[in-house]
Amino acid sequence: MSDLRNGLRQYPKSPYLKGSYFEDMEIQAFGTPYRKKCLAIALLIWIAFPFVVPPYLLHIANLFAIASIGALALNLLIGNTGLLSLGHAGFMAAGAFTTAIMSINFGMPLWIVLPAAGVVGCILGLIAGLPSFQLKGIYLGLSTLAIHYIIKYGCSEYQYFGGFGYGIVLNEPSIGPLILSNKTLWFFFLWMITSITALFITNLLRSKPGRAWTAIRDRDIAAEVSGIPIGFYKILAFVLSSGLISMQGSLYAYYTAVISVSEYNFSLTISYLAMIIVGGLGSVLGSFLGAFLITILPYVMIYLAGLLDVSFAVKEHFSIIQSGVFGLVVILFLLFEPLGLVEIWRRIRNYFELWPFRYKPLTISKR
Amino acid sequence: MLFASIIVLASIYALLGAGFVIVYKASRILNFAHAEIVMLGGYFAVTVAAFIPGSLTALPIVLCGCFFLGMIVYVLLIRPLAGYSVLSAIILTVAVGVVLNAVTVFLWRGEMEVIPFGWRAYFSLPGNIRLSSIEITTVGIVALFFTVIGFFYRFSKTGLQMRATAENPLLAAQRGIRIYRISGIAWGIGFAAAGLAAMLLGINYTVSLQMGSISIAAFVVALVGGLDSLWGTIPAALIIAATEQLTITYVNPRLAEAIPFIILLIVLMFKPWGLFGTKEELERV
Repeated sequence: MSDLRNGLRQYPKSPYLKGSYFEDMEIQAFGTPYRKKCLAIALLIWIAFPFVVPPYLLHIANLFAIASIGALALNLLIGNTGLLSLGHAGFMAAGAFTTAIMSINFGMPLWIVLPAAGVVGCILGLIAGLPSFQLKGIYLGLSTLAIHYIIKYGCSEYQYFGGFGYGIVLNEPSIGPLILSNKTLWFFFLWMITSITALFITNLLRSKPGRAWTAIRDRDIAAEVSGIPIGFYKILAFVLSSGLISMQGSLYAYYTAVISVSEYNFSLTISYLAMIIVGGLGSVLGSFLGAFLITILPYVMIYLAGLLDVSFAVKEHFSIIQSGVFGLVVILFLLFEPLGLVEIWRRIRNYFELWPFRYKPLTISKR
Repeated sequence: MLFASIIVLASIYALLGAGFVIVYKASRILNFAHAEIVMLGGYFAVTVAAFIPGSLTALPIVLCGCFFLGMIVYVLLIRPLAGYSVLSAIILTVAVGVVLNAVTVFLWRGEMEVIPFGWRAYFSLPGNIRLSSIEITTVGIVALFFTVIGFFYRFSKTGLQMRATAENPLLAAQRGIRIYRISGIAWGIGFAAAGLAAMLLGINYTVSLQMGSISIAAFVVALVGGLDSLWGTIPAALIIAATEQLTITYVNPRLAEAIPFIILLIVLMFKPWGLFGTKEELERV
């Protein structure tokens, strides 16, 4: 018996295998050797990236990081819990204006403002989530849209009575002695927060709330019968997601250094919804892919227009062509790849994993 | 003055709300592209009115154009998506709106236009109320629209089939009703209502890139009235238009944008299916 045990000891334990509940409850990020390699490569790229690429690309990377936080948070609510929210821009505006009020009127530093924006977002999310006790689907979506307009009204009152005209200008924030003045510092800061958010959401989805949310999404009545307090978990999803979105709004405000209420309109919500649809609902990787595609789309078009040396007529209507292409991309994804970019990624991965063979693995494809 | 503006705004809201309701009844999809269709219809009406003398003769052409646009959108985009989640359908209509918006700006360059309306006269009513001919025509056309739609739903065969499809699509299909064709017609009618509203807006105010934003408040009208109740839109439109105009006049113009949504939240809290809507089992997102 002991020989057998010693014999088994020689083999490394599978990283996928969990021996106890405590092991399962550990924060899981880079447990497998493949993921460790990925982490090492990603870290190298992360450190080298700002020093290699031109500042223009760095700016896009920063916007991508901010968009990723929003897409992750929205995907948590819509993709994983199945609650429709059309109030993304409203929560972002709440975060941005909390930043404005706290940093201009009270002179608070970033490390106080950012959590405070999160708390404000959580409170607003609690209010926005209250109708979810009664409402589902489109009705819930419209109640969050109503919250968006009410938040926007409050923000426009502040901007009007504060005498800020067209926009509130923020100073460069600082963390301790470090002033976030150039794009490189912002790159490290933003991507750190984005990775923490992604890690948090990935692990949260494995835990008790994550499983409860999946159950609510798949069939809320069955979830309730199984003893899940669905009201609590719906509100929890709203609170967490809105808090994160609000922090994202605060970061966005700090990064662009200008806050204007006219920026936070419904089309902003649309672009975030487009991100999670194009990326893939209910998937962390999908949020990143969607945020990436939707963020770079306008810049790619500018690049292509410069490359192809387009005529004057096209240049004149360029912003309109951009928004038209954005709409077309979303329509084409919905019609031909409704599961999003992450499904394309899964297909490619399966192809290479099975390479000499062409059989699909005997697993039910994840949503 | 205030009374007249409330009546005009309410009739246009009712028309826009009716557009939402007709589409929603047929396919359980809230059409987020409504604002852009209003805009496209408005510019289309401007172009047609430039070629044809008299703005009211342009009306049938605009209505037909919008009707066919609705059918095309349904056949090409909405129908292939049957069976997908509510969210996909919503995002699809939003994306359609974005594309239509781009097309409109590309074709018409987004300048402010006015649809000319020849007849201009003023009528005094008892109680110190003055109504212009434009306002009376607007209210009259909306009343005519609701009468025609009411008769259509009540007495025509297609209207009967539409009601059946709205009530239970599965059963309707099993009784031999071609629900896809019926839904297509409903989308056409919904878009035509938007085109009509665009013409009335163009006559009363201006045709511009911002004219579609009025239909955001019309969402609220459709919801407050009940998403599947055509007649509910009329009282709902009166409530919303009255509160909005009174807020603009007596309180604060910036609050007026949020007021419909405050009403919406109150209605959703206490009567989630609207004042006259029927309670329905909703799909999950």
